[in-house]
Amino acid sequence: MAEKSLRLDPMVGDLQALTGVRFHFATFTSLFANTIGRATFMVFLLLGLRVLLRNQWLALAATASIFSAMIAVNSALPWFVFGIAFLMNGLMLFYLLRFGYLATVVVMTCNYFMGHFPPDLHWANWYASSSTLCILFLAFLTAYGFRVATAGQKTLADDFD
Amino acid sequence: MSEADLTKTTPRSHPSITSHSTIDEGRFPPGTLLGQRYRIVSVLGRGGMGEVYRANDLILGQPVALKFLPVEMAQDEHILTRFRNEVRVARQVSHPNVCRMYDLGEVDGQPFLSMEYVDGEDLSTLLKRIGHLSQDKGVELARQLCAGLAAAHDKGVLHRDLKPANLLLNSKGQLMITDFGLAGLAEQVQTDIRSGTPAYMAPEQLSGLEVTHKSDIYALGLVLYEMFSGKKAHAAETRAELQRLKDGGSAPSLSSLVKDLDPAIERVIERCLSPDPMRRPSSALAVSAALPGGDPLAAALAAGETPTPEMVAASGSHDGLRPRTALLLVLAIIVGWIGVAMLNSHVTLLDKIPFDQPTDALAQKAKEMIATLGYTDKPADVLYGFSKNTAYQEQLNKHFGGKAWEHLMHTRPSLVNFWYRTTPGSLWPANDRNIYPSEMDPPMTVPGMVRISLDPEGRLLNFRALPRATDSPLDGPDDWSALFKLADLDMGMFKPVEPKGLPQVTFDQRSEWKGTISQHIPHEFRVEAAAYRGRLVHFSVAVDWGDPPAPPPSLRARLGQPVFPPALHVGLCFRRVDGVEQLEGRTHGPPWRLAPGDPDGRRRLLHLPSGRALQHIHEFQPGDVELAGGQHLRRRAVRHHVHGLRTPRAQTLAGDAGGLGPAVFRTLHGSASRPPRAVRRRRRDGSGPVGGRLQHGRKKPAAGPDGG
Repeated sequence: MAEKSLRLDPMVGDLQALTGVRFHFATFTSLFANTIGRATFMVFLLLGLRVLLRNQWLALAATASIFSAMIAVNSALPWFVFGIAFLMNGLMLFYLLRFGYLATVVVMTCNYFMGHFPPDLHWANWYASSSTLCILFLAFLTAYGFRVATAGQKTLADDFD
Repeated sequence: MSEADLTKTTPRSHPSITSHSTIDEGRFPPGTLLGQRYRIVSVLGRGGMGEVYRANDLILGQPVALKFLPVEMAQDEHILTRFRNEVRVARQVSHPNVCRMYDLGEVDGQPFLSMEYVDGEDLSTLLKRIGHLSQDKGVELARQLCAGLAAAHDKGVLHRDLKPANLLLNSKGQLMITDFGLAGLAEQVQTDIRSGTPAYMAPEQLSGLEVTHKSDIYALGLVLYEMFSGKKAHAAETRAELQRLKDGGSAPSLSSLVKDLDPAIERVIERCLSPDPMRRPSSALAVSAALPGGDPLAAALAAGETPTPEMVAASGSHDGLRPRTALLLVLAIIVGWIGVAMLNSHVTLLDKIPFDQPTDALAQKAKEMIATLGYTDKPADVLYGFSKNTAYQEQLNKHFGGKAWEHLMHTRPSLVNFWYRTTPGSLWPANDRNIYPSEMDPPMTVPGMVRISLDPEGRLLNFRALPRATDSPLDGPDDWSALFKLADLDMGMFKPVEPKGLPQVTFDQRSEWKGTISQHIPHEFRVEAAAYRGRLVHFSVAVDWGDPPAPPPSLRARLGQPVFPPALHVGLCFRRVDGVEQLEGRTHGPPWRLAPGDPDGRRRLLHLPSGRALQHIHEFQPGDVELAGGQHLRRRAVRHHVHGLRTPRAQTLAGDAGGLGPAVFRTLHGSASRPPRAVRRRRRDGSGPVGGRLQHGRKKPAAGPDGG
């Protein structure tokens, strides 16, 4: 397994969220605020670097490098983590450029949410409520997103035969 | 087949209503009084389906149009039903570009309907007279036509007979859709698909497959084609030829007929005339948006406004997902999610370690252990949570390398610990940079503080207590075996050794042991214990790695290169930036600094971080459970209630804060704490609610006894 050979840290999630429903809700609400703040920072950083470097894609690469370096410095395998993080951050920034701020906030929220409440298939665990919350939240967000995005238009072009 | 044949496939409910139709006196000569209400002025039109008259409504004093059925059809129940249906359907649609229908009536056994009188001519007549419309005028009328049709579709009404003869232009140049004789609700017209005018029917309607709002869009395309070119899109002699032409989508290019036509017009008409309904624009509004200058999204963005979701959705050129695509996407989401969940089971820490005890059970166990160890006083504040044993993980990686994961699953102590701490007073972080109290903040400095750590199985790992001077001495612990029992260790497998570590608490007894836990765990453990006046003050179970934990490597050493300063600098900024807090500052800033946007939404957004405070609500004061929101909530309360005075909401809250000041700050800030400086100043100045509601802006402080 990659995590054995590479000695990557195990994914912990938000241990505080294990301490009850109230903590679920607290983490849940603060996640929104955090992702909005981070996405906003990402936008401003990208814009600033775009002005400095005068090229959108250079600005994207520079922004991704900065974010990746912040993650990599705390890792046991900084260059490997930097590469992976660069790809992920680059994808997120491309998403920001292509689909805009709101879509990026939603993606980041889902991303962080799944990191804090990792969904798994062990429903018998006493902390399975975290997984359930994750599933319900993502399902709700998906349904709400569809509803808002269609804005009264029908989702399907034809009925199912 | 003549055009007349092509335009008469079903009995029509009425002829065209125009002021330029053939004029004769008809059934009712001018001046005839009908039903003591309508006086006939003239006949507007006459056809196989009846006559239309211009009349004056004597009661309301308005001109109206009256449509009568032919005498021979007046008794036909089917025709009458259609006649009534026309009124019923048309009255559902209310729009400036749809001719208004008033009511049904009957005179001498002859039913009629009354409708809005349009003083003008129909589009067909106009086109015969002038050829085709200019681009600007055509776009203007096309947009009105789209708006009227969209209003009908919005009510679920299909017109089914859209053609130039049914589009009236009044004297002001306003276009109105009329003749809803064949119209009906979409779900009710599927049994009568072919009704309409073949020359303006969509291919699917002409072949009897279906009639939908896309059929009206097709007819709209034909009308637009005719408006801009003055020619019909399909010149067919027979119905079969017409069907063939429509199925092939072979209308002559508009640009070949009209010079300098905007390509956008040609493109949207081509899409309207697509034989495949799926390829046509999704709505009449989408057609309107595709016309030159009709992009509301571009207009909104140019105006610096955020387009509404409705605007974005309506601008789409496609009409939803195909069911197969949708199904595949749903399956992809489900499969992807299951994949993530399965992968998570392999990489998440909690699934790698024994983690059977719920939080409440661990908290109860910790509470009982503390009591067992002689600390029976009821604490004023309790805080607990989980923490990751990072030092242990680093040692595992160092000593076991790639096999660390396997050890995680079987060894003790665990990578995740449960901590539980009690204090004789309220718990607030001592480090001002921390918002919340935690396992280590505030430090163990106040007598009476107790902190205990258990592993996820509920076994004692660490214990530290600061006994109070007033605590009476106990007899124990002469026998340390009780501790080993709480830690689920076999004392027989441990041997006393010379103490190496120095407990960070005052003690008068100490012991240390070394041994193994089981045959499955290869490394040795070191157990430390210390007591003061008979009470346990220190206990620790840790792996004896044989060497002290190495300090963490420097960033430079980790990267092998000099760390580039910008990244670090931005990283530090990143840690400090809280977008919502920034937004909060903007919201409460002076009005001239506020950016345009959605202030209500921004304000709602500001309440999100408050949810974090829920995490730090804990029991507070002996025997009295109060909701103490923690430092974070206190700071927010101060900011909202005291500093944010520029919004009405904030003013109200500020008034509340002042009025409830003592209670609020006793609850949020702790009884021993002083209210913030701003509150003290306001109280001193008398500008709080005690002296009246806070006024907008700064209030000049009243002179106090000290002259301040």
